[in-house]
Amino acid sequence: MREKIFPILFIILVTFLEITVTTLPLIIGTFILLTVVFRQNWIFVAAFLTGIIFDILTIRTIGTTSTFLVFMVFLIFLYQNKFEIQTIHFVFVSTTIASVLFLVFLGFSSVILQALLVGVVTTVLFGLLSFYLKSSL
Amino acid sequence: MPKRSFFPSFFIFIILSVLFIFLSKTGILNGPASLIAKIASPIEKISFGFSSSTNKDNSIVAENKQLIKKLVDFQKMATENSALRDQFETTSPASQNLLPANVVSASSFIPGISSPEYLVIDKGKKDGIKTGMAVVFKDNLLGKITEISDSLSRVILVSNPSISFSAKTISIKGEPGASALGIISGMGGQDMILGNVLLSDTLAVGDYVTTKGDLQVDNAGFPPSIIIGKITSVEKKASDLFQRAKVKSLLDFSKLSTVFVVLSQ
Repeated sequence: MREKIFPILFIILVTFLEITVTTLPLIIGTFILLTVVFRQNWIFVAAFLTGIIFDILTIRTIGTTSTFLVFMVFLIFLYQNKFEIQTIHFVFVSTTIASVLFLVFLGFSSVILQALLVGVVTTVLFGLLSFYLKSSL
Repeated sequence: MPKRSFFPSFFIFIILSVLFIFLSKTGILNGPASLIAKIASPIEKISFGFSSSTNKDNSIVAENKQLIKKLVDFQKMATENSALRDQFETTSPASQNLLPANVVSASSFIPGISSPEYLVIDKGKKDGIKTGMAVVFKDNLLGKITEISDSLSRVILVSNPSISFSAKTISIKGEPGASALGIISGMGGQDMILGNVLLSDTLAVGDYVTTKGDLQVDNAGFPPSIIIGKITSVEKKASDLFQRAKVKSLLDFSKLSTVFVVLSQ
């Protein structure tokens, strides 16, 4: 349980940032990062609850963002059965593609630029996290 | 993690998500959603406050807005007086019933630099807000209500590319009372385009653009003579059917913390 506290706090922080301050799809980057690193079923629960809160506070049809996030996590899990997902290339490409789809789905502008920025940030975080996990072992 | 052990979790949560969509459409979730929104509202305000605290409006900009408002009011009065004298039309500015609302979120690409795409305010159905109502700040048009829940509303900004409505100009530099009619369309940021203006009409850089007024019986729509922005450039070609102008809003949407919903005219 202790290992989940930091990721949960991170999800809460990112969700409120995306709701109130920025249109950058930080939630997408966060969930891809967590799925790739942890690969555990609790991420489905977190994705579902985050989507519900996001929809309520941004006044969208409740459940739409949850559907998107749960399906995205599912696709990554599905992909890991055939390929290696803990690579920088996978994190960057999947975050960028998912961010583009999410921004189009929400109807925002500057889609490509925002998606690329989140892709880069998520990849850097993944690199740092991988380095930290390797060095702590 | 063993292969395929994630399938049950996926199916449970995807079914729950779809179920929530259906329940949300029927309105059953309005009560719990309103409760969650109320609980989260202070956190949203704190989070939004952090981002906007460094962007407070300075006194010179505020004074400039007041002077522009007075100038537009003066031009409007001059036009009205002229019209009254000629007995063509009479207008009586009715008092507007404004509902103050706090901005709880204003998400933008780069906070503090780019303009937000929309605003969320802390007033909803319970406060008498309806979809389509205009939102203003110091007689400047901000946008209109597009989505409402019991205690929150989403405001689409006047500069959003999906918005378009009729507008008229108020000539400041040209002959008093001269005005042109056109259609305002959002361009993103603080910019808009005033299009479909007849070539015979006069558009000049520095002229102000106001709403023409398209209120409906349920008070949805824009009241007349609300300032939309200022013309920054004019594009006029003799070969074109219409001329157009670039309009910039006088408001910096990212700096707003309180706005007003026009409940009735």
